[in-house]
Amino acid sequence: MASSQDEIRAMRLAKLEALNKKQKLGNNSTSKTNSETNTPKPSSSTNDDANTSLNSSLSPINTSQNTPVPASTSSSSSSSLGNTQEIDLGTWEASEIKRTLSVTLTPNEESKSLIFLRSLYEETGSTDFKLIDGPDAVLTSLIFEQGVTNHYSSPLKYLFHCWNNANISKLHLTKNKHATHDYDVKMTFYKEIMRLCSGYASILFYEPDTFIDSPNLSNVVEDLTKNINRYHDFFISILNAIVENQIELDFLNSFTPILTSQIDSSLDSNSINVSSNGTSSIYNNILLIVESLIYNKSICSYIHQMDFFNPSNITDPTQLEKDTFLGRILRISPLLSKLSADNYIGVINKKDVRSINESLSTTYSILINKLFLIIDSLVRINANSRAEILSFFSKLVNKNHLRMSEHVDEKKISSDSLMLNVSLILIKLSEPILREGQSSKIDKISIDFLNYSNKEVDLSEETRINSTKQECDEYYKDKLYDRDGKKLNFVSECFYLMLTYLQYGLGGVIVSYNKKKKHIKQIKEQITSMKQILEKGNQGNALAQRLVNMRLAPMEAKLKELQNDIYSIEMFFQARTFQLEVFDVIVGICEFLVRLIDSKHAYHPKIGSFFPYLQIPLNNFDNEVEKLDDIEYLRKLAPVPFKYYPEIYIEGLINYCHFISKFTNNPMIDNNVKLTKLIEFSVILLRCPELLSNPHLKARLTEVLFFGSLPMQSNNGEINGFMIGIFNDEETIQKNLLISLLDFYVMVEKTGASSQFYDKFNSRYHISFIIEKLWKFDIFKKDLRVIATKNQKFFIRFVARMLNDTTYLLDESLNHLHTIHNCQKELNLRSRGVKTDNEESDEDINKKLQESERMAKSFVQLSNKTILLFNLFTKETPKSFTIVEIVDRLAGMLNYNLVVLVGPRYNELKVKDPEKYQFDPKELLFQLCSIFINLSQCEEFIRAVARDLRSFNVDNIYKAINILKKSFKIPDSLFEGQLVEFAKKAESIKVADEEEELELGEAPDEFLDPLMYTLMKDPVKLPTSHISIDRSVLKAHLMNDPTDPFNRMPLKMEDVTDDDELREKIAAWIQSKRLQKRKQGDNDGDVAMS
Amino acid sequence: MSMKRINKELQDIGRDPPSQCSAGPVGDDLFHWQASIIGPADSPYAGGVFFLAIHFPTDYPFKPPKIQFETKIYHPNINSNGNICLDILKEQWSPALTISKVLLSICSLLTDANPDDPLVPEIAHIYKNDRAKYEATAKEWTKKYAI
Repeated sequence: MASSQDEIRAMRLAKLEALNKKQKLGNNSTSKTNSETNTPKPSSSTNDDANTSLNSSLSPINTSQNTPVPASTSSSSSSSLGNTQEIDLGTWEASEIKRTLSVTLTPNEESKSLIFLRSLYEETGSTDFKLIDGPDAVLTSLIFEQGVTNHYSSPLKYLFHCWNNANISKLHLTKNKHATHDYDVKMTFYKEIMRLCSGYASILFYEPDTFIDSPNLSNVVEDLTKNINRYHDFFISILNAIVENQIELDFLNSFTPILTSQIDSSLDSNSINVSSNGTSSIYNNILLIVESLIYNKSICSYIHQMDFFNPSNITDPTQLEKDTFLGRILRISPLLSKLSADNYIGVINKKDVRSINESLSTTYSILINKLFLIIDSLVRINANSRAEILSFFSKLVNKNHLRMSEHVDEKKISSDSLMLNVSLILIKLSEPILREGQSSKIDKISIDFLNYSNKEVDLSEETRINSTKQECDEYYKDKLYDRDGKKLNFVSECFYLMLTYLQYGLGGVIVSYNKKKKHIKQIKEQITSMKQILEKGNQGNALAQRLVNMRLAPMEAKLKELQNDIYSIEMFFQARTFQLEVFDVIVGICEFLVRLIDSKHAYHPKIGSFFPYLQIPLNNFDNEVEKLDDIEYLRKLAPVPFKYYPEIYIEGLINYCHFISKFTNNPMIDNNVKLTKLIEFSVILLRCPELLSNPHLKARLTEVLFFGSLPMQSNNGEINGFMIGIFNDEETIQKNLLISLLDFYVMVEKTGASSQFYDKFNSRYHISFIIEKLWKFDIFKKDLRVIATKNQKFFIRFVARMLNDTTYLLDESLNHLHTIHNCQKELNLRSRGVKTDNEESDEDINKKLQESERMAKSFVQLSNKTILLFNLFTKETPKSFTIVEIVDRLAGMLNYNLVVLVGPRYNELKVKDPEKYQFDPKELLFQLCSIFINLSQCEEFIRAVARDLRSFNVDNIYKAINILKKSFKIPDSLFEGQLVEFAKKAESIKVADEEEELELGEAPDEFLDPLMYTLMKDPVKLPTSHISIDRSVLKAHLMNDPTDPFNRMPLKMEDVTDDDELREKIAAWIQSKRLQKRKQGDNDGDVAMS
Repeated sequence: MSMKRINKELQDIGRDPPSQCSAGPVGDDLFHWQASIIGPADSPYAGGVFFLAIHFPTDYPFKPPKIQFETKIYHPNINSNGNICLDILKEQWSPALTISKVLLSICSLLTDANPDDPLVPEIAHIYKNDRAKYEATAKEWTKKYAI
């Protein structure tokens, strides 16, 4: 037995020897440490030092510590010299060793707090500490031969205990410096004990097996983590010892995986809080420890070299999150489901959530600052560390593109929590780059970003802003920099990475939010129907009820979980301090993108406005509006390299603004200098069709402007939307806004999506809404008049679309109201037991009713807005609405709807609670009549109204006047007078038309327009189908569809030729008919006369 | 404006009606028609008579007419409200088309459904994967609602 124990002991000593050598090596290279503490590890030299001091204390002069040690001197021999001073010091040291290290050499003195040094006692046979080789001998014996676990739960606890004793004594000593004999000797003694303790402790974290107690490293780390507040200073000095011994990387590799592995299991609602009783959470303690690592410059510089910092074999998004250093540290936030589940326990109402979120956002803000400081230190420590950080973040985002997908298994992507944290850290890192004014580094961001072939961010699959993938590849084919050559500067790396995270990180959180909302809706519906099954009680299906009972609880739990996630995401978006930070960066991105668009790519650090240095529009399309539809042409005009940039760089920005603008306290409000820039940027994108080709992005951008136009509630009642003032005040915005909106109104017709037919109505609703709000400023009315006269071709396109919409929407609205009326009537009859001949089941009718109610709600709202816009615009520029292309259709639409509202069919539109659908028939009638009046001065319009055989009847106008009068909708006598006058004029034209028609009789088919079957006045020949058609009809057709109606070949008005021959034939026929009639009339007259 | 055009179509359809179809105004409203289609012999709708409502918008014929089935029918491109998913009634409309031509197209849609652009995905799925089941259900519906 003894021999094997000896062997073990020998082995340990050998290991220690090896350590010693290493440490000594380190010692030589670290020059900064003073000689007093630079001795790496307990060794004979330490003793020498102590002896030196003891010796030096004999002389009146304080000799330097470097004084050579007399070879013969040793503590035992010195004590035998009998010098009183010396004996005193020796005795002092002996008792201090006993006290600070809590040890004894006397067997019967052993107690709970005093360890009996059995090994040493057996070895030396002495009970006198003076005969022992100083404190190191005690510690070595305890740690490597005897063990401390009978008295202390771990060597760490014991070493800390000793370190702390020495530290306290040292402090005490410092206080009483002048009253103390042999101050320096004593000071050195305590420092030495502290140094020894931290030295041994450092070995504990990296080679715990060298300790005879063989402590489990996990337990040691756990102890350290739990009690870091107490251990803190000791830990700092342990870290110093590690640096001195140059074992940073070994230490980090063994320590940090265990440290961070504790995070996951310890998570609860207090994890990021400092709890009320003052104890801080495991996670916070771990952060404190990491911070200590980071603050030690030497250790910090090794962190990125750790094995699990950025392991190349880990590429899975969940593994990147859970099995890497940064993933583990950075994944914690209130958004983590595990935390949100805890945070909202017992929440009853919105108020509870609000107050929880208010405090959570403060906590979160503190957390993000801590995490940012960690990353910031790692970025600044050296170039390699910086590169590794960027590489890790790039990899993480590259593997998380699926986060934008509607349907993705959440287990295959990283969490919102991690991705948002990284996004926010990058936003903080980018803030100084994008800061406004002279200190801005926007001009340092490289414009030739796409030329770098060694980018870490993977953009290979990204859609480009306005170019196809092939065009982009072709363009850069021979422009790429050598892979090993030029490297992007840090400013650019950081900026572009942040842009990428704005989409996949922060943007992914928005996607996730919307998904969860949808999911909640579904679950709620399911729960409702399940509860209905249960409510049936005994009458219900027992099996179904059992099934429901089984499924209900998990369903409700899931609902709760989703709801908590929603609260936590809202917590972030409602926290204005966070959002102001994000928005600052958003505006900075706008600045950069404007620089990218600008042909000179110059940066003008001008506070307030992008204009006038960027002139918009970039290209003028006034004389070739058809080019606006030519995607290829626009692409050619698009600025380089802007057009080749990934679309996500604009999408992320727009999505953020779109999402945040719905929040009542969003960062755009009361932030006009920044907001102006965002609006300017929006107007640039909307005004220049060659910039952004994706209509969905423009639609979302328009919606942002819509949100900014929504009136807001204030203490003094309703006030203007938060953007309205800027729309009107900023000259360049004001000059370009209306035309931009009108252009997009037209362009949104084709979005390319399968839902395009309906998509356009939403955008047009937003545009109409904005314009309605602009109409309180006369300047925009003037703008409209200028556009309508100077830019006729452009404006006609708009008018045609608006007319299509109005026609369609009114038609649909009234149809659905009609269906609602019928269903309600039928159900009412049935409820009274009346038999009807309708065979549909109640269920079918209810289904139909619900569907129509849903549709009516949306269509009526949309048509109200369009008809209002119609009214506003016809008032300003009536002539634009009476051109031949559209006047007949406009007249037909107005007449028809007038009939519906005042004719007998109106009774079929009567529905219960019309307000529910925002259906206000009197207001609608008023709008229609106003439009009649607006256009009543145009001869062409009156004619068109009169010749509309389908619906025109002068009586309808009189009926309308009566209805409006009764409901006090007539604003003034002028209104009525104008309407009456208009009605009379139209009626007389109708009479005249009828007479002429009678006069001409039936015309030969060849004289009739092939589409409308009206007598042609100005026939033209189509170039490919060779059919003759009336010019006005063709014009009207081409407004909708630029093709030959008979063979769908592309067609423009310029392509047709006048069919002179046919025109003359028709004219001749008319003349002959008239002549004939006149003769007949003359004859009739003769007869009458006779 | 569209009055004359619609009159003309009415005359033509009366003079030369398309096979298996008929159409005409409901009451005295010239802009609201009812049409009927006899289920094509080579389809599961054979033997049925299907009624359709036709509404002419004021911008007809620049815009397509609105046509809905009034008789319930089991078909991948026709939903429970009777709405029809047919390209010429939407973006492929041309003012040179007429009600008569549209009805013929609907007839051929009954014979050959277009399951790749379905209005009722469930029916389209069955149509593609279990044609016999589709035909049986369509026949059953025809018998139930159209005879």
